[in-house]
Order: sequence, then structure tokens, then C-alpha cells
Amino acid sequence: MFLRTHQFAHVSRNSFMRPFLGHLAGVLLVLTAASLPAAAQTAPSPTTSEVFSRFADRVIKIHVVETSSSAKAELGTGFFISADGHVITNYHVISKVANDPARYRADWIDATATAHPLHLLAVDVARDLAILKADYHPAAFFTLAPATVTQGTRLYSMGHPNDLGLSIVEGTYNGLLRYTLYPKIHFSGDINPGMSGGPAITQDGRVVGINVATEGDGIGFLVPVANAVALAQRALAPGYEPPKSFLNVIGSQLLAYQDEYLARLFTDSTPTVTLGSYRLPTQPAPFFKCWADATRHSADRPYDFISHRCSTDDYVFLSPDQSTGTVEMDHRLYTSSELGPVRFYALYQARFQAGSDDMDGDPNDVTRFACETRNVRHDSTLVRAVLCLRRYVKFAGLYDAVLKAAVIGQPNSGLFTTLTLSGVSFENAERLSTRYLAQIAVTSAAPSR
Amino acid sequence: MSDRLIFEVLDGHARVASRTHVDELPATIGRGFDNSVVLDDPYVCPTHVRIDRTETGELVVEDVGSVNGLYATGDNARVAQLPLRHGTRFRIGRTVVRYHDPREPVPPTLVEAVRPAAPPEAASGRLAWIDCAWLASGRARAAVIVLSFLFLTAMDFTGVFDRSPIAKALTLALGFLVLLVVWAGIWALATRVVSQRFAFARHLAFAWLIAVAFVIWGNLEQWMSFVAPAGSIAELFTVPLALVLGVVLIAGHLGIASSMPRKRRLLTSLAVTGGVTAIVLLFGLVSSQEFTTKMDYEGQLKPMPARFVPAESLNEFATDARALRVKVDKMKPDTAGAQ
Repeated sequence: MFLRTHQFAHVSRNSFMRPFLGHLAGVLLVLTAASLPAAAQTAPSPTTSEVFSRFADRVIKIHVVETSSSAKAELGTGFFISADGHVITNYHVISKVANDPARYRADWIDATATAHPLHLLAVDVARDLAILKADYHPAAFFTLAPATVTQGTRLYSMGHPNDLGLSIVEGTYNGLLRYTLYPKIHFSGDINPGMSGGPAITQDGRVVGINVATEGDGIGFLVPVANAVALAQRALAPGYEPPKSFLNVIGSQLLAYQDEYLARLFTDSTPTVTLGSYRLPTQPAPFFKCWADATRHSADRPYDFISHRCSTDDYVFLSPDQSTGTVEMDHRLYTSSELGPVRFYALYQARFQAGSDDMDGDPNDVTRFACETRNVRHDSTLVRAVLCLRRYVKFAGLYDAVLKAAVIGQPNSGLFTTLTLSGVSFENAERLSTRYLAQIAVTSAAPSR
Repeated sequence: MSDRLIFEVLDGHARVASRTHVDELPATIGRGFDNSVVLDDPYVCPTHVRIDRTETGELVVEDVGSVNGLYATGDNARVAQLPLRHGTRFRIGRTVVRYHDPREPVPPTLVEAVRPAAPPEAASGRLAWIDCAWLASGRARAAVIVLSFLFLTAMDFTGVFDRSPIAKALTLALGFLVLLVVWAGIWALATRVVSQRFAFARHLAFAWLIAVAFVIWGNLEQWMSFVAPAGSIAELFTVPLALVLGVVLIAGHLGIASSMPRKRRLLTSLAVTGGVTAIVLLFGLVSSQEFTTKMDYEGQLKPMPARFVPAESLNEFATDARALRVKVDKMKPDTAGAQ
């Protein structure tokens, strides 16, 4: 379960919004399972065994169960944060309960392997957190409080990797990731699938973060405890009532999330990049990563091609079938001094119609795309602009929007760009599309030879 | 009583196999050699039926106690006797016999389709051009085939963008030529069956003409979409124009293949083309019900100076985007949506 998140982000760099790669996760699960005995052979330092024995009873295994078959659908970890049995874990561990409470329920498994019910109280879908409640009063629990630690501090991550029993992993705190919208802690240690939702603590038992994802090779990610503190303050407040439908809550959280991260994109201060004789926006915010590549004309290709892409690393896990909250821009420049205008435009049109990778989607989550094409003139730049839109079925007011724009008028060069916005309000889609189009400019006439 | 009657023995395709004159009544038909009409059918009795006039002067064929009986063709009922009028058919054994009244006028002579070059009806009427009478000239046919091939090669050339465009364009055009040769060949074989000649070159030249019309239309449509993507007029005309070209194609080939009257040819080809179009549209309708993540858009890009391309402002684009949103909001999940 736990690997999925970042593994997915990793894959999505080159192919936007691929569905969950079940087989890939499976391969990785097998790999981690095989590597575990080796990890177990290294003798734990006395401190680690002390930490484990002091805090093990506060960490629990969470099963998400399909009610009709009583079969386990998801496995994760959680830990007690109050004497009343409040438990915190990742949203992605219990997403099925939030999405479909009629079909799924959450259980926690005690030391004697007995299952007890858990009730979902609150979620923070953008920060991947959830609070549940057990009908149980734990003898000991972790107190959530903002924690400041310095880089290199030894942390202990606990959880149930691959359902192999409660484990403890030593690692170090390596600061916050620089290029994310919401802060994430870089944890150097082998955290593995199944440990999602488990605590990463200092040796005196202060929670620093919650296990959320791994990139493999000892690179792990934690949700900072401060985010959990904010959610717990709401959910543990006296008189708090859990919402009747979590879908509505998730929908409004997504709307708030996209409003926050889209607010500053493609304003006048957005940096630009010059490709050939075109000027375009790039690196709209620090949490975007950009990269570029070029293909020169060759024996079988009478044209040059340059691509420049930027996309967010952040995304929001909604359900195993749907992730959202990513922004990608993809510029493609074609130039040719050999083809002549007619044949060059045959190439340009073919590439523009083929477009970039399709976005994935499930009919239960999204409608089909509907598209509108217009020729749009801004200042003296003429573009053929295509806007494609589809609606989220479960979350009112959210859309996937794809804007494609091809600059027209140069006889031997052409540039088209694709802006992909997933999980945005229509107002943001409209505003960003027009701002984006306004920032495309022809700087000079293409050199004609 | 003296009469002159004609009895025609028909073959399995209702064509006349043999014809016998009978000058005297009563007459008989049977396997025996003393009959007025002698049949070789082993299921026919030596004397099977007798033909005579009744007191009222009506001509009647009458079963004279045959083993296998007399049948009126059509209703397949065994009868004792049957009145004969011009064209009446009856069956005895396995033979169908038709009575021919010699006083009936013979139908007019059919005009050969190829010579004279212009069939009389082609010379007049508003739809005379469908017959493409000028294709009767061998030079005209050769010119049409060569020019069309060159035109298609040139069109293909403008659409390829790799290093050896001429070779690629020629390959594409030759592939299309093979396709048309097969198509014209099928029509030529059909023509041979109906009119005892092939007229292959004429079919081929005619098919090329229609193909060129399709290619020109396809390009025109792209340019129209490029210049006016909003509410493209081209879209409105696509289906009717394809229908018209299809009708002309089939009607033209039928005209070359047979001496069918023009009106019947047009109706036949309309039925064929309409049927094919209906199937294609139905197929599109069915497949449009399936969920897809594909984006379907008008991505035409043409080499045209920017100042000549009609365009709208960013504000108008935003307005159109809001209209798109209304459309998307009405879409039902899991289907093509409400249009």
C-alpha cells in the first residue's frame, strides 16, 4: 500500500497520470520481502530494542476489510494518540472506507490477532492523514506536538512491513523536501509497504512524522507531525461530529487545496523560456520540476525537435483508481529548413493532432472529455487553442482541464504547448488557461533560408 | 379450327430454351413423338396435356390423366385445366411451358450501351452528366487515369515529411491504384456477365474521378475547419456529400455495366449508399457510447499567414470555455453524454 504513493509520482514524471501500476507495486513488494531477512540479521543497537519495547504497544495494525467477503483489502499501520482510543494513520490506508463506507470497514488488530472495529472521524486528503477511533482505552499513547529536530537526528520508524509483524527501522531525519507544496520530511531509512501510517519517533518517544511513502533505496518520506496536530485538534475537540459523507469533505478539501496551489501560477512574475522564436512560461512555482530535451534533424528526419516540460511532484491520492492535483506543461518546438511550408505543416498538424499522452481515468470517477477549438489572437500572436474538459463524478465542482495551443503563422517553425490541470475548479481552469495563452508570444520572425 | 400458337419451353432462369409453333387445335404436349410439342422430360407422360378452345372460344390446357399432373406455376396447385392467355406458364413434370400469343407485339430493340457513343437518353435530362458519356473515348479514359494518379501522388507528397517524399508518395498512390484496379475489376466482371463486355478501363477511369472528388473534398474540409473551427460548416456537409458521391459512384458504374434506365440506377445506388451510410452511422453511435479518456478535437494546422486567419480574443475564448463547462456539466457519467 505504502509504496504506491511516491513510486507513482516517480512513474508519472514521464507519463502523466498512469493508473496504479499493480504489477509494479507487486514486484516491489516481493523485493522488499526478500530484502527483509538481511535487515533483520544486523544486530540492533541496545537503544533500538529499548525504543521498540517501550513504544510497541502504542502502534497497531490496520486492516481495511471488504464487508461482504470479510476479506482484507488494504493493510497499514496506525498509532494511538489519546487515552480515548483515537488513532492516526494515512488517508491512503483507509481511502476505501472514506469512498465507499457501505462496502468497506476498518479494523485494528491487537497483539492476540483479534480484530476490533475502527470508526473514521476525520480526513485531510491533501496531506494524506486520517483520524479514527477505537472502542478501547489504550494504556499508553503518543502525544502529538510540534517537534523540531535537526538534520541527522536518529529517528525510529515503526510499522507492519508486508504484514510481517510489527517492526522498527532506524533512520535519520534529513530535513524537509524543498520542492513540494506541502512540506514532507526526507527520512533516510528502509520504510516499506504496510508501514504507512506508522510513527517515526525520536528515541524518547516524540513523534516527528508519519510514514507515508518511499522511493526505495532507503529514501523515505514522512508527513510532518505539525499537520497531524492540526487535524487532531479538530477531530479530538469536544462535541466534534464526524461528517455523514466523507466524499463531500474530500471534495471541499480538494477545492481548497487547488485554490491554494494554483493561485500564484502564470502571473506576470512567472519566468519565461525562449524556444526558437517563441517565448513561453516555465517553472511557474518552486514545486515544479522542469526538464528539456532536443532531437536534431538526421538522416531520416528532416526537422529539429525540442521539448521542454514542467510538472509538479505533488499529487493527491484519492483512491486506488484516481489521483489528482497535478499540473503539467509541455512545450514542443518543431523547425525545419528543408520541408517547405506545405510539408512542414503536414508534420506540425500530425504532431499536434497526436498530442501528448492521454490522461487516464475510470468511468466511475470522471466523464468523457469534451473539447472546443478556437483560433485565438492575443497581441500579434495567433494560436489554435483547444480546451478539453471533463468533470469529476464524485466531487462536484472539480474538473480535469487540458489546454493545447499551437502557434500559427511561421512557414518553417511551429510550437505547440499542452497545459494539463487535474482536479481544479472551472474558475481556475478558465483563469489559468487564458493567462497561459496570454504568455505565449512570438519574439521574432523565424529565420527563413 | 385453325390457329397459330407458340409454346416456349423455359430453362431454370426463365429464359426460353426452345420454341414450338402449333398450327392446329386440339394440340397435345407429352413425351411421345406424335405430340404437337415433344418434351424430353422423363417425368412427363407420353401424352400429358391437351390444348383446345372451349365453346366460348377460350384457350384451355387440360390434364389428360397424366401421372404427375398439371400445375399452374406460382401457386403450385395441381389443376385439372388452366385457361391460357399470353404469357401464362404451366408446369408438367419438371418442365415449365409458357404460352405466347403471336399477336402480341415484340418489345422495342434495346440500344447498345457503348455504341453509339451517347445512348439516346444520356443526351438529355438534368442528370445526364452522371453517365459520363465522354468516358467512351479511349483517350479521355487514359487522360483521366493518368492525371488522377498524378494528382493523388502530388497530394500525398504534400502530406509526407520524411527524407524520401517522392518514393513515399508514389508508394501511397500506387497502393491506392491497386485498390481501384480491384474495384474496377469487380465491376468489369459484373459487366461481362450482364452485357458480354468488360469495360474495365471505363470503370477504372470513372472510379478515379470519384476518388479525386473525395480527396479534394477532404482537403477542403480541413481548410474550412482550420479557418472556422467554431461551428464548422464542413461538418454539416460531410455526410450528405459522402452520400452524394457514393450515389454517383454506384449509379455511374451501373450505367457502364448495364442498360438500366437512369432513374432506376439512381434509386438502386441511393438504396445501396443509404444502407452503407446507415450502418456506418449506427456503428459510430454504438462505439460513441463507450467510455474513453481520449480527447477528440479539431487539430488542423495549415500554412497561412496569421493575419488572414479569422480569430477571436482571449475574452471570447473564455466565454466559449464557459459554454463548454455547461456542456460538460450536463454530461452523464459512463456515457457519451447529453448532446
